[in-house]
Order: sequence, then structure tokens, then C-alpha cells
Amino acid sequence: MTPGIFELQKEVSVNYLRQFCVFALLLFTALGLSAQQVPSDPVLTAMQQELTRSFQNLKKAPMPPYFLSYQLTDNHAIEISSSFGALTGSNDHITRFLDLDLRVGDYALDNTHPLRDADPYGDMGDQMDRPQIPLENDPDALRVALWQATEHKYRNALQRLQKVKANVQVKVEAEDRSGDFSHESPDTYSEPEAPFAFDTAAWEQKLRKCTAPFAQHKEIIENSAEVIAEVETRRYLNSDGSQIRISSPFFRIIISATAKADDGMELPLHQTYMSFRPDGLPDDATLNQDVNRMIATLLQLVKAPLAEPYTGPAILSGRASAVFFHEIFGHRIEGQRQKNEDEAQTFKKKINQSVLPDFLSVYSDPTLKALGGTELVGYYPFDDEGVKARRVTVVDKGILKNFLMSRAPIEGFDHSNGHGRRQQGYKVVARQSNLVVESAKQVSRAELKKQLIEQIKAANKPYGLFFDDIEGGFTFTQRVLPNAFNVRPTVVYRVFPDGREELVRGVDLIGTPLIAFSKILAADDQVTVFNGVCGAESGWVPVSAASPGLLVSQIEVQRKEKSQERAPILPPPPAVREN
Amino acid sequence: MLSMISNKMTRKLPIRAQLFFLALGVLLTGRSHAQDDVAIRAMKDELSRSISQIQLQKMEKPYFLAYRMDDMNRTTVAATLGSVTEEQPARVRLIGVEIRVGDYALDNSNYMSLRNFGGGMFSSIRQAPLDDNYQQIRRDFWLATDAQYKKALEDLSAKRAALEARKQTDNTPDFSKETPNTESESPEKTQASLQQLKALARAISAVFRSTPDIYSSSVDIEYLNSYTRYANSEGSTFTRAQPVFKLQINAQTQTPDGVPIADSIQLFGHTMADLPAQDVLISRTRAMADRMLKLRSASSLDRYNGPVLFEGDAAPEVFAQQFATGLMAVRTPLSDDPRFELFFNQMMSQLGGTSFVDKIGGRVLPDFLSVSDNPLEASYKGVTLLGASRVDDDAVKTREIRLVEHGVLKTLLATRVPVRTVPHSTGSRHGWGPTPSNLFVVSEKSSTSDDLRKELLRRVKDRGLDYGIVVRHVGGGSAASFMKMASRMARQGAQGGTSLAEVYKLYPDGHEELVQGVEIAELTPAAFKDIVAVGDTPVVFTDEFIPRVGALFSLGISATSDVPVVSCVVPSLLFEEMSLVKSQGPFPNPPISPSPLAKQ
Repeated sequence: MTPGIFELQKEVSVNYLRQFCVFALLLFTALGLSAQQVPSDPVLTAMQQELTRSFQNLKKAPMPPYFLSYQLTDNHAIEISSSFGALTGSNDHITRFLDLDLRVGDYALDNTHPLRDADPYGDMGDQMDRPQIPLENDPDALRVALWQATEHKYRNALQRLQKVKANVQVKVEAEDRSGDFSHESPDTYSEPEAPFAFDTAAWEQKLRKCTAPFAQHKEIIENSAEVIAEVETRRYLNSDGSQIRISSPFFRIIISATAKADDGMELPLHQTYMSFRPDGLPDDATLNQDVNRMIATLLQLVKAPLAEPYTGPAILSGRASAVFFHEIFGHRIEGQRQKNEDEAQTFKKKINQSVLPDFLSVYSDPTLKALGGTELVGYYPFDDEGVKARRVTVVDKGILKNFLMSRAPIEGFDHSNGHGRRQQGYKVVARQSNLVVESAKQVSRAELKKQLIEQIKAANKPYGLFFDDIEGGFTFTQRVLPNAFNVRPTVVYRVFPDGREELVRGVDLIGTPLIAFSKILAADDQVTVFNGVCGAESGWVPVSAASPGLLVSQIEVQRKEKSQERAPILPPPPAVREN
Repeated sequence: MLSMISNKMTRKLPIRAQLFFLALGVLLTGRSHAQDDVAIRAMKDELSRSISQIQLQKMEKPYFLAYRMDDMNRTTVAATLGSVTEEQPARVRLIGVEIRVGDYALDNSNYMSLRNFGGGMFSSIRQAPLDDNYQQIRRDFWLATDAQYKKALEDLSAKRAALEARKQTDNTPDFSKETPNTESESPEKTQASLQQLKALARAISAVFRSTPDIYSSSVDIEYLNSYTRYANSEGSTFTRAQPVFKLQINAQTQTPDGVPIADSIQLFGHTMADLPAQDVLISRTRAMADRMLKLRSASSLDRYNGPVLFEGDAAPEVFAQQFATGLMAVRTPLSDDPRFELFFNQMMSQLGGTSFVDKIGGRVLPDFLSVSDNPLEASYKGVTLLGASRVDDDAVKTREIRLVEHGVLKTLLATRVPVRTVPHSTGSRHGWGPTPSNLFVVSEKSSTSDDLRKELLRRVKDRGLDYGIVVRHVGGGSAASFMKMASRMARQGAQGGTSLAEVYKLYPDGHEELVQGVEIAELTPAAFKDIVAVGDTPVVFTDEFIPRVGALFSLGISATSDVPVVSCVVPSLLFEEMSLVKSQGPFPNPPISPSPLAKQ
């Protein structure tokens, strides 16, 4: 879909019929169809019938629900994996998952209100008994499954509301008195079910070939390549009147390999590719080239000297900066953290205040499908509460403007901005989508390196660091823990004042957010994207982060966790049978 | 592959064909290596390199090494109300390594340290490539052996230290010596047709479309075609095919007061062909549904103490769930903390009932009953027995074991992990520990089912009771009750026990009344001494049988077979005395809305 359509939808007024017709017209013009209306969807019809019926029937109960939503996620996934040239798995799996939100009480206080000092696993019981949802589209079978799930959820919701009411009485007054659920206008949207075709046999062969080169090197102890091809269709309905159907294919390849140094340290490297288009995955030549590059880097890493704990100036490549921003910044702008008093709430009171250097701006935009030619995994048109996705300006010239919001209001922010997300089985919470860091002033990478060397000399350090690639990271946001972050680099160089670069191994990047931000000095012009998955309270969701390379006046590194296991005792076995 | 001459084939073929294959067999044994496929060759080659060469510095070399490989081809299909809810074919290859350092008397096994708990215990199995790639298979065994060897050295040294710190009275060896053995079998050719399984699941589950008062129902079908390869350093090797086909029909509902009502039909075979035809399955499902609907308005009872007759399926069910679990030998592992051993015994009896390990030579059943375990029987009166196999998971040759003779316990089923009273393997290792294979309860005297009922009513009259109890279906199952127990432990304050699925009051005038919401108050293996009469028509009941959890500490997790399946052949059983009570709540409220299928 072209950006033009999204822009158009923003300008059209909230008039259901007009919106729907304009969209449908554009859609069918694009498809070359002249249909009068959107083809009927028996699943959506069954969902709607049961939602209406259950909601009406439950009105007769002593405490009727005020809100009900159904989300069915159909997923057809083919996963193929290989290791060292041999096929290790090939599975084709179809699932259909129901996520149901039911609220009793009212918008100000309902059963989803967080319990303070509660058993953190208390809500897990909910996830244990889930009925199997029919994969086929027989409306009766679907309706019975939805009915069972609704009754079950209703009973649990009543119980939890009692707990909430007691908890509210017993604990001190909350700092943030905003309600539990926001009012949003209903919306309708429909994408046709995406087609799905994947040549399993051909890809099994491709993956075997792709990992075979790793077997030639005894230093490489672990290796895997995985291709996941899936098509996912989500149908969402709620008692406000929203009806959303989204459907998209998604393709990913992940290649990993680990080498082991003589001192036992394990050195991993990863390469990922993703696309929303079946022809968007790399061809054999590209895969081969990248694999050879990985092997070369691994062999160098194995021989590289151990880095020492260090503080000093450094350059983070675009990829490294992107992960850096995701961990130290992205998680701290998620709406619900500002309200949860167990959270450190680093930025809670900083709206309209300076949080970053004034040449940096940050926005979160789930409506972006690509940036500079790289597809973005955090794309979605509507979030998991049926709220339309939109671009959110988080930081404007260094000033904090907005948080990422779901339908859970926080002080000062009454509405969702389309960032309510979840993995199937979890409760929705505000999450990141595509985080983009922009710099108003940019220099070339060569110039940035020059500036780094100036910093090294000024600080009287023997060398600075350059973080080229990372595998991921984690951060703590609660009050009870130091709010540190840890970003795990895989390729790091020492940069000497004479300009020489030396590959080193064995360190993780650490720090605390507020200090780290205050040390950003400059940015380059090489914006790079990091596509990954992020795990937090509402499970794992695909996200991306994009950033230019950054020069930081002071970064800290600590020793990496090291395996204590010796290398294998016997040499690797021979490739062919000896006689 | 023609090179695999399996005993299965020779039994079924006419003489001429048998001679032909025999001749071919003679031809091929000259080049015995041709019989081994790539995977087995890779295993054997890596095994012989490892056992002869692996040694860390000056430490001990292993004295025993075993490699296992399981190819599991599993197709799972589920449906409800005529609509498929799950369809998943899956192929996985798992390998396991069992390595021992020390010697048969004292080695690294039967030892529990905190390091072993959780991840440590399961590190001996891993996934291997599906391709028969010689080098990759050897690589995976190479790395697994290396990791397990290092762990074994650490465990043995910690165990020796623990032994020095206390006085050891039990000198039972850690590992028994058994005769090496070789068996081979070709893979099972029958594939599962996903379309066929889906069609069957839809057809059976559609029965419940006309019974909206049965709130939830499902049909689950699983076909697991697994092929195992094994080799050890004593010279044993085997290849074995174990196809298992399972069909389960489940239904749950509640009385208007919320009392849960549940029932199920569970059938096992080697392939779909072993099961009854589709229309028979449909009519059995209908009968179950009708009975459940009647149960919704049936009466209950508060308490009953008196004679109880387990008829038909209920007899082998109750025998498998409550008595057979005691027939396994289980060993208490040594620990660095002696208090753990106390706790271990308590935990084991909670999780799996008591074991008869100290009752050998003692009376466990009435003197007219005997029990034997026989893996060499393939069927009983035309019904397939699922426990049949020539060789167990340690490659020990299987044979009939007389467990109970005239009511007296003679021995227990054991693996190569000896216990005080059972020094040798009975060829009973399935999965991580000992389990039965096909259990037979045989009686010197028996009665017709009419006579059994008469006897029940005679005793009822003697006791001055108004009625007797007949149980036709217990429900639950050993696998299910293990899961229920586990989930009960996970969620405190769960709802009541499991009600008996099909139970009747039998009145002196001969009429029967269905009873709902009743469970057995307490049933221990000792209660089986109270059997006073048995029927004349034993029935086959097959179910999953989880080996005793304790066996995990005896290097149990190096075998990767799926949950073992056991068949019990048991006649109807009349117990002199048993306590039944009403199931206690709290029960969930019945649904507020009627089912969408209900007529308005």
C-alpha cells in the first residue's frame, strides 16, 4: 500500500461510511476489481454475532461488563532450520488464537486495574485454560468456542474486580489518579487475506547449502540458520463497534554462529533478513557472501585480544545506537511505566523539558513500512486494541513531547496513540513500534572518527572504542533495581590516536540512561536500521529502531559473561568414515 | 530396505517366502555392515572413538557409554463440533548420551545435587539433524558426549565426597551387568494421512452438535511413528519401530448446580487400522453423550461404605491407576544433603503412590490372583496389546516376568538400576525408568458377570445397605491424573477430586440408577487385598504410563522415547469394601448464557 492512502485516511473525517467507501474504492481500484462491497467473512460474522449475543446476555448478570473485545489471530507458519549443512527441522503449522478483553466496573476503575504489591504470577492462571479455537470457518463451532472463552473470562474478571476494590482501599492513595480505560471512537478497516506460497523443498536445500561452509572450521562450535515464512491475519471486534481485519505475510532468515576462543569465551555473530514480500529475501549469492563474511569475522574474533573494563569516548555505529536507544530510551517512554509506582518513571515529569541534546529528535511511527530501502518490522496499520496506528513525536529538538500510549490513560494523556500491543496470550500494554532517531546536524563517518580521536587525546586516553555490531540488550526499569542497561556488542574495535583500528573481544556496553544521554556529542549521516523482537510485560512483539552513528564522550564497558566450559576434549570427528 | 529382515515379517509370510527371505538374509549377513544405515554407522563410529579415546587429563575414562537416537514422526489432529482445531505434522530427531565413569559398583549415577536439578538433568538429550548426514550426526554425538563426560566426572567426585561424609549401609551396585543383545527391526511404513485423520476427527466430534447441554467436547488424534537406534560400549545394538496411534474423545459439562461431569473414550493401536470403524466410534460417542445428559439430572450420594464392583473397562483402569504403580522398583538417589533423601521418599510417594520395594515375599493380593508382565504377547483375543517389544530401552532382552503368584509379590519390574531386592534388569526400561509392558491379572477362580452381581447384592443385604455400587468407567487416566496433580499443586485451592465417570447404584431388585458427582475417597494398593471375586472375561485397557519420577536421577533422561504406553488385561473385580464420597467443591458457576447451539 502506498503512503498516499494512509495520508488520505488521516484527513478524512471520522465518518464511518465515508471512510469505508473511500478506502474500499481505492482498494478495489488498486486490485482492478469492480465489486460492489467487501466480500463477506464468515469468521468475522460469527465473531460479531457471538460478541453481541454474549454482551447482551451478560447484561442480565449482577455486574455486567461494560466492554468486550475479541481478537482472533490466524497464523500459518513454515519454519525450516539447518546446522552445519544438515537439515535440523522443517515444520508447517497453522494456529488460531483468541485474545479476549472483558471489563467490569467502569472506565475509571475496572478489573484490569493493576494490583499493588500483588503476586506477580497471580494473573498467570488465566492463561492456563484456553479453549482450542476451530481453525476451520464453521460458524457454530467458532461461536461455541467464543462463548466458552467469554464465560470463563467473565468469571475471572468478577473475581479480579473484587481484589482490585480491596487493594485500592488497603493501599495508600495512588500518585496518578487517571482512569483504567480511555474512550476511543470505533473504527473499521479491512485488508484482504494475504496469499501465501512458499517452496519448502527448495528452501530446505537453500538452507543446507547456506550453513555448509561453517562446518569447515573447528573453531566454530555452534551454527544455525532458520527461515520462517508466515502469513498472519488478525480480526478484531469490540463492543464499541470497531471491526478490523489485517493480513500480511512476513519472511525472516536468521543465521547464527558461535566460535570458541582458547580461554573458553564464546563469541556469537548473527545476521538477519526480513521482508513483508516473498521476493524480499536475499538470493543465494548474497547469502553466500554474508556467510563467508561472518566466518571471516568469527575467525578474527577468536584470535582478537581481550578488551579491558574501560570508560572513555566511543563511536556507536547506527545499528549499535539503535539498540542503545531502544533499551535506554524506548522502554522509558512506554505509557504505563509512568503510572506504575514500582517503576522508576525516569521521564514522568519531564514533558516539555530537555532530555536529549537539542540536535536530536525521536519519533515512533508504526505506519512506516520501510526506511531508506530497509523494511521495518515494527509496522502495523492498527494496534491490538483496534486503535489506528499513527506517528508519535516523542522528542522534538531534545524536548520530550509524548509517551507511547495504549488505551490505558496516564496523568496528562487521556487517549491512546495506537501503541497498544501484545503477543497472543498477554494483556495489551503500550509498546514500541518503529523508533527513529534523527539528527539535525550530521557529519561523515570519517569526520566522526576524527572527532573521536580529538576526544581521546583531550581525555588523555590510550584509545577509544568503536562498536560496530550488537546482538541485543536488556534494561531494568523498576525502582528496586539500578536502572542500568546492558547492550551486547559482537564486533568492537579499539581506535588509536594514530587512526589504527584493532578488533577486540569480551565486553558489554553498560551505563545508566540519564548520564548516557548527556554525553552524546555528534551524529553521522549513516542511518541504519535494527530489526528485532522485544520482550516485555505483554510478551514478544516485533520492533525496529533506526539511528545514525553517534559519538559519545564517555561510555563504560564491563567484562562479558564467559563460559567456564573447556573446549571439547577430542578433535571434531572426520567427515567421512575411515576404513 | 530389504536388508532389514525383521522377525515381524517372517511370522506373517507363507513358508516359501520365508525361505526366500532367509536365503537373502544369509547372503546379507556376510556383509553385516550393509545392514547398518548411515545414522547407525555414524553412532557406532563415534561411540567407539569416544569410549577408547576420551579422557580429560589424568582423570578416569568412562567404563560405559550408550548412544540413542529417536526419529519421531508425529501427526496431531484435534477437532470440536465438526471443525478442526489443530493439525500439526511434526518431525524431530532426538539423540541421547548415557555415560558412566567409575565402575559398576560405584559410578556417577543415582546421585542428586542441586546442579542436577532442572536444566542439568535434561542436558543429555538434544536435537539432531533430520538428514542422515554422517558428519553432522557424529558431530552432535561428539559434543553431547564431551559435555556429559565432564558432568559425569564432576558428579562422581561430588558423590565420593558425599559418601566419605557418612556411613553407607546400602552396598547395592549402581549399574547391573547384563548380557549384551542385538535386535533389529525395520521402520513402520504406515504414514498418517492428514486428510484421513481430519475427516475422522470431524465426523466424531460432530456428534456433539446436537447436544448443546454438553458444554465442551473435543476429539484428539495422534499418530506417533517413532524409530529408535541404539548402540552401547558393551556390544549391544538395536533398532526398533514403535508406531502408536491414539484416539481420545473428551466431553465436559455441568449439572445445573455446577457439579462437573466429565467422560472420555480412549483407544490405542499401532496404526489407525487397529481401531474400530468410524461408525462404531460414532455410536459409542453418542452413547457416552446420552449418558452424560442423563447424568445432569441424576441423583448423587453423600457417602457409601460397602462392596463395589468394577466391571468392564473400570477394572483394568483402577488396576493400572492404583495398583500397577507399585510394581516398579525405584531407587533413592544419594545426595550431598542427607535430608534430601527423606524428602525424596515423601515426594515420590505423593507423586506416584507407594512402591512395593519392601514387600517382596509379602502378600499384596488375595491368594487366587496372580499378575505377570509379558512384553512378548502382541494381542489378546484380537485386541492389540501396545506394550509388546523384544527389547527394552537398555537393549535388555525382554521376557515374561511373574510379578505376583497366588497373591504373593515375587519381584518388581526393574531396569539396570538395581535396588536392594531386585539385583537385575527385568528388561523393563521404557523412557526414563521402569514401566510395565502388558500386565495380565489371572485368577484361579472366576464368576460370570451375573454371578458377580448376585454376590455383590448378597453382601449388600448382609451389610443392611439399600444398594450396592457398580463402576463401569473410572475416567481420568494415569497421564491425565499426573497432569491434574501437577496443576493442582500449581494452583492452590483448585476444585475437588475427579468424579467417577460412570457409576451406578445397583438395587436388590436388579435395577440400576446412574449417580453423579461421586469419587473414591481413598484407594491405596493395600485395598486390592480386599478383592473377593473376579469376572471371567478380562478386558484390555491401554493408557499412557508415566515412569516413576525418581528414575530421573538414575541417568534416566538419556532415553528419549515418548511417554510409554501400557496395556492391562484384567477381569471385573469385586471389592469387599470401599469408601465413596460426594465430590466437594467449590465448583465454577454454570454458564450465564446458554450455548449458541441451544434451541431458543
